[in-house]
Amino acid sequence: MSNDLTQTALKRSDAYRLLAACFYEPEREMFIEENLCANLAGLMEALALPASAASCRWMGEGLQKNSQEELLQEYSALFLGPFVIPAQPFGSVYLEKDKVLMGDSTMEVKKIYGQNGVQHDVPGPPDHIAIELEFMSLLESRIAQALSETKQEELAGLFATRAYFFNKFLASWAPQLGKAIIGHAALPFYFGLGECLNDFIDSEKQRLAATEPLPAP
Amino acid sequence: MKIKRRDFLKLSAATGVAAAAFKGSTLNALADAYRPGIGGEAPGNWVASTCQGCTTWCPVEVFVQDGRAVKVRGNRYSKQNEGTVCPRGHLSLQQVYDPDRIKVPMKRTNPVKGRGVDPKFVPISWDEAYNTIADKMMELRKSDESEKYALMRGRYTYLRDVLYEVMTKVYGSPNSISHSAMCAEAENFGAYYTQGLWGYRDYDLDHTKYLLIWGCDPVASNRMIPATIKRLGDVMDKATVVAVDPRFTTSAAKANEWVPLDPGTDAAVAGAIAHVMLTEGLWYKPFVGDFKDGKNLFKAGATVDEASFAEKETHGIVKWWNLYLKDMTPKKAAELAKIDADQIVRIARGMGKAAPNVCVWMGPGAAMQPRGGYNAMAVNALAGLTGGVDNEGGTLSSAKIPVNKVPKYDKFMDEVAKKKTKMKKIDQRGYLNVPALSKGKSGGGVSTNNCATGMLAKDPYELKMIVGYMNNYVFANQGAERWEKALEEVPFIVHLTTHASEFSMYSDIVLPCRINQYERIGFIKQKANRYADCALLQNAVDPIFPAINEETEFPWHIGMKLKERGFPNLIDCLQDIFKDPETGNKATNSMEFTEFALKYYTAPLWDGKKDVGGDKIAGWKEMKRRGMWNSDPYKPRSEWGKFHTVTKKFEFYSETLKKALKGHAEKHKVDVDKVMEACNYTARGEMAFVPHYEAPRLHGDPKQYPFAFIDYKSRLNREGRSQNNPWYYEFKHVDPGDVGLQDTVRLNPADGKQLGIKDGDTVKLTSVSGSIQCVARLWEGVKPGTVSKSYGQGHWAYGRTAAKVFGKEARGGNNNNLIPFDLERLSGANARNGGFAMIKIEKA
Repeated sequence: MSNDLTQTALKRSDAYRLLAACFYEPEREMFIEENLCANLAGLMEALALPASAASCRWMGEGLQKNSQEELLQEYSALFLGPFVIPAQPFGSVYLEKDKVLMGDSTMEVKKIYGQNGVQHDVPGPPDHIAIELEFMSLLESRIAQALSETKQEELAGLFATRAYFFNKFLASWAPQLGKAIIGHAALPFYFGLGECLNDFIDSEKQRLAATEPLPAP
Repeated sequence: MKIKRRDFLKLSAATGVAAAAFKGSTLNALADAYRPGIGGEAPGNWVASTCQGCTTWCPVEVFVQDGRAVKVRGNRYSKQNEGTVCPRGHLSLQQVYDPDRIKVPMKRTNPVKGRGVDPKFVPISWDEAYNTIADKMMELRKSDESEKYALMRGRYTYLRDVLYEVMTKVYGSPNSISHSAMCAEAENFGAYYTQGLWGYRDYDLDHTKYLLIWGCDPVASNRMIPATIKRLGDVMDKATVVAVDPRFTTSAAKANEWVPLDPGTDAAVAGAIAHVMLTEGLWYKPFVGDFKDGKNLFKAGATVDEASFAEKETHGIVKWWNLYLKDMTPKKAAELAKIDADQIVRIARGMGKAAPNVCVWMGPGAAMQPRGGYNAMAVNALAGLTGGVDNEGGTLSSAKIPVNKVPKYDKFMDEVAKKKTKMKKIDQRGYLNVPALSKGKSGGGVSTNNCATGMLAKDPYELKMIVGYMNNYVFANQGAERWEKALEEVPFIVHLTTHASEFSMYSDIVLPCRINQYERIGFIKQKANRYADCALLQNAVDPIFPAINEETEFPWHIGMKLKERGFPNLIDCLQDIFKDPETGNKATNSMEFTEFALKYYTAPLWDGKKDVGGDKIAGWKEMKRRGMWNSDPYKPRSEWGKFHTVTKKFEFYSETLKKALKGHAEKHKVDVDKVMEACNYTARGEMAFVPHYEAPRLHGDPKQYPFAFIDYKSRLNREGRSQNNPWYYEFKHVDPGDVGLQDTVRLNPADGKQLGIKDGDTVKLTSVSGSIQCVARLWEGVKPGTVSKSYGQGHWAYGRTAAKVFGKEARGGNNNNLIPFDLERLSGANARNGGFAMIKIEKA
């Protein structure tokens, strides 16, 4: 496999991971010091996703403009509550009939993590948007490794897992989350995050659809 | 969720492809699985715990699979529910996994407080939360104002002592405020001032021949639900069932008779039943006694010589007759209550025939009224008249539950604490107009809703800090708007809760707590179906988000923080008085402390040191596995001859109340008549000491507000906490006359026609207190001139399902914005029943 494909997979892994970071409790100073938004914008450009890149730059400008307290307030108002939570960050709230946590879909996500040798290690259910994005990041990094080592059989398994997890879980609810963020965000960082999430997931959907669908692993 | 490692934000190239990308060192939320992590397919197991969706407090078992609770059933060992639960037990699954639960400690960043004002909560660490709280507490201690701290309790377990009592007193405040007066203190008043029982009765349905249900719906509420659901059919087969209630309840629908009395006329109807029983010689003579010459002298309107009657287990039957009953004929009561006089006679005769196996099931509807204390006494007096009190097939007291009491902690109270805990309390209990005569003592009980009066008037002083736990006083108290104003003025409020609620809107710090039945650790004491029990609340599942057992862990952590600030008394006390009863070890962390406290209290049930009767449990491990202990069955007539009254008898003329009222009057240097006047009762003289009827004290001129409003509790209410659960709305039609997916007010079709209101119309209900909107349902099961609506909906700050627009617009209407503030002052109870809230209805 070419080094280009490996590098692209790594970039995609990074993009998923940095996007995941944006859904944690904001730490403005650290985000700025680590050039989070600029790096994410760079990755999106490298992946030929100019709209996502623009959203990331918009996020970066917002990060400069708004204080830590403002970011925290908005993060709470969107994702944490404690009252109405317009942008619930958990998959089961979108995928379960009764919109509860720890639904059957949550348990299946947990199972997939387990089948791939990992378990979630932060408080809360395993189908938080940040964790699902991180899992995609992990898959992409493994794909990169398999590409670099030309392990075809392993690659096929990873492709299948990625397609299954992405389509059945992440992509089936993340756009609704993105839409909810866009609908309720007042600060550019989070408005841009909603846009970036939607554009990125949409492009990933198209990319993965272009390959032949694989059966569940 | 916080980012744990900075590398997570770095590009792979920066950390090196091999190290970072391929080996996963930049993972944050994911970690290597240490076991083959295949979730969702494990066999699972049942874990014993307790449902606290209502005050039946059912021992239950939770089926846990892969760390997730998926199913609920009654505890297989329970003799109170025999392995069954009501709908509330199942509904709780949507509470524990409600995505709107509080997930992290939060602090308010907007100092302005009020309805419609966003507190702008942001997440903080547990450490910051505890530090801030401890600082505020020390500020009050340093300025000699520790009395201005109040602990306000909602749903508790019996580990409550730690937070409610020990922490508050050792810190130095008199203000341990319980919610008991919101529940049914006026009901307890009725039982206490007739039979000396300040507590709820148990009911022997298996042996009853006559079940008189008064002011409640036992298949839906009132402390014995699953057992009643299971038994009511059998009771119908072998006994007569009568439901006295202005609304058509589920029990009324099954009963032989429904007595739709006008709200607030309970004592008139009960009095008339007693009148018939006496005039027709139907009272139970082995309990009450008889005329010395055997000739019945009870004739309507005629007084009787007290010396002519020899009482056995009772006191004052002739006095009651002479003062009140002789004139309360069926005809008179029927006119007052707008029912059929023949029905009164029929019930009296039926009860007389069935005596003594008569079960008088008195609920809060008969009692929780501004003048409800005497209604409660009157209804309970029927249990005495029929000999059904503390008897087979009747009402029972409770077998003993031999758990340990709170250990002595006086030595940890410093001079400040000793002085401050003796100060007056914020609810003004014991004031002339708030006698709150729990167990015969002036100011002996709480008057929860009167806290707002004290807070608003700053009388006896201003409150500067409140810790509220599992409570929502600003929603659940009548005249709720008073609480909104009162809480706006309190500078620092902490809310310990599972879900943010209206109370949280006024809070400065909100801390996530473990939810009962699934996560919370504690124990309860209860009785039902002739058995007393002690059941554990256990953490069947780990909390999804970090949360505390607020009754033990909060005092522990605050104790630690206070020690850092030079006040070690609290943590020293907790470590000292709650050691592990098996090893004598002191706790070293909050969870260990919680377990030690639980073991300390329940040890007599499982440590084998003494035969305490009931279930034999071999050790702590076995206790946890079973989750509960049952007593031996209660022995009927245990109280006969030793009722806890002044006379040791069942009192129709209450010497016990007389003593209590006189004591309260003397304290204020007035006479009893003055007390009655201050408490809005009309009785004067001797009438104050017997059950009697008084016209309801209405709020609102009936000409302007022509409908009496009847509040009731839905059988889906997990107290006030299930309104964020979709199932609550989906299944709301299980309440007779209600409609799913809406907040329904039920009115009689005749009234609907007169008002031009049709089924499904949105209507506005208005009282002197406020207005709410809901949907009309025309239904024959409500008397003309009255409307009924279940309590629970109308949250304006509770969650995505419960509130329409967060902080601003409620979904449905809160009955407590409609029902004005008032009290049953003799007991201190909230007034919420009896139709005293008069309303008008308009199309919205």
